[in-house]
Amino acid sequence: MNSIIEFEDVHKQFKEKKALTDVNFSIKKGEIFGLVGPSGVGKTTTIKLLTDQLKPSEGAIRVFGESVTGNHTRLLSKMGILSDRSVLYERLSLYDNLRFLASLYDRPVSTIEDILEHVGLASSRKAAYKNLSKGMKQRANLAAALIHAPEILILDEPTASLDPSAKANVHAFLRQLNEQGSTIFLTSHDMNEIESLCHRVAFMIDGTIYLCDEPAQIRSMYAAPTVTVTFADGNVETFNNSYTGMTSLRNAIESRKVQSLHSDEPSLTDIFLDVTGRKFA
Amino acid sequence: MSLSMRRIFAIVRKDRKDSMKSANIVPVLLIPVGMALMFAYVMPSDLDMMFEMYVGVILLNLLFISGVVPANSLAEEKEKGTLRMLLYTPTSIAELLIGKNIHYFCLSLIGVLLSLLILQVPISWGYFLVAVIPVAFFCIVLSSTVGLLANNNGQIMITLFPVIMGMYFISSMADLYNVAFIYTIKRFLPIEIFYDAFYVSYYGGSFPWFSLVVTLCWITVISIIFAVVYRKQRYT
Repeated sequence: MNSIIEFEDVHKQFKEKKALTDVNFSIKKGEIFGLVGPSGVGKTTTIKLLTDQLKPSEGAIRVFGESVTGNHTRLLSKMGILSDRSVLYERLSLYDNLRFLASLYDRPVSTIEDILEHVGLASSRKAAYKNLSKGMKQRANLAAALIHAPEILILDEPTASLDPSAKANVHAFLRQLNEQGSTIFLTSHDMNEIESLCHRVAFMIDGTIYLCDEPAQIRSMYAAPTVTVTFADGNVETFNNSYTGMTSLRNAIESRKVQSLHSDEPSLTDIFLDVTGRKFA
Repeated sequence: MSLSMRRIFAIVRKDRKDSMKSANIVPVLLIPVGMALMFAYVMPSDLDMMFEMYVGVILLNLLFISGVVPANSLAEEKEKGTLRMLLYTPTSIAELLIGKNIHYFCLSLIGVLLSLLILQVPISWGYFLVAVIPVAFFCIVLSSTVGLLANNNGQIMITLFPVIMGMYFISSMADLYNVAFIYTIKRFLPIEIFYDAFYVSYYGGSFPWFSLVVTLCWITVISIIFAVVYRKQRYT
């Protein structure tokens, strides 16, 4: 797979404050890539650099092999961008909003109906944006981000303000988009979201990428070498994964009734807290 | 910088629909037309008074639509966050401003023509263009400049609105007070060409070159200020 987004030795400084230091990562075509970290560590700055709203102090950012700087208009037409602060024109109907955006991208009006069907808002097409519920608004924003069939979807904390049910709908929709070939770059401070959606994840702390790999790889890297067994009589025993430990485990399973058995693999949240010594804000 | 006419006219169409549903903008559009309708029924017998009244109403219409509404609209885009959304599309700030200004310029002309029609003020097309175009242009550039600087409609109301109303009152009330100082200010106001062009068309006289030059000077000054503000604000 080819890298379609590349950050190479990127630094960003705001007067005295260093926002990003030596950021390096790449995102491959068809991948869901998650950038996680507490609020204020530089996730949104990364997105602003990627969308040419900010210029890097040092380093190079390339999308489809082209530098972002100076190619803003062409590259933005290949990106769909959504954040929890995304909004549309509240007095206009959903259809009018999407028609306006379609004309900005020179897309046919016929795509609007398809997108509305896709996000499950076809029946609300005439409703004013301000009259939609929060979950519907975020789906409408997603429709707006998808109106020009972007090759890359950039999502800045897209479900930050949604309830669990609306969040699950958005997740399902993102998986569906990814299966259809969209590359998704997602920032979040919700580890469950990242764990359930992303093929690869980067931990960002104080403007630096701390760790970048597949969630399963990260979990196995930090997994404790033990297995915990709960027996039917209520006893809980831990076995390590050495030869003798595994032999004892086999003997125990054969001789007693087991209620549950699980490997002591930490969650991404546990690993993040362990690695960085930080709490999520 | 490349400008796309397709995107500019998409913004014109969007603003046309949006402004017709705005509780901020619709009254600004309706009040002067309502005043024109009211004055059309209260016909003063004195011709001079009729002239002052009619021209005053039409000028108010022009100043509101071209002077206040564009700034309101731009500040609202910032306040509500739709400007951020637009900047995630290939649309540039220049295209947004041009699109908005075309829309409000056309709306100003429609408002003035509607008032003229209601009040049945006799004016030649030549003088109409000299009276309306430079003033509308000045007001739109002034309004866009303030709109770029302001973050919300409250800031527009405490900065731009007093300037617009101040110009209007000095221009329309100077004759009542007959004070030399006020007259001098009035002569150098950017909107004075409006009164002078209507006056010449109504009563006859020589072409108001002085007022036209004053307005053109103001347009030059405000355009320079606009360019400076635009360069500073487009990345903010």
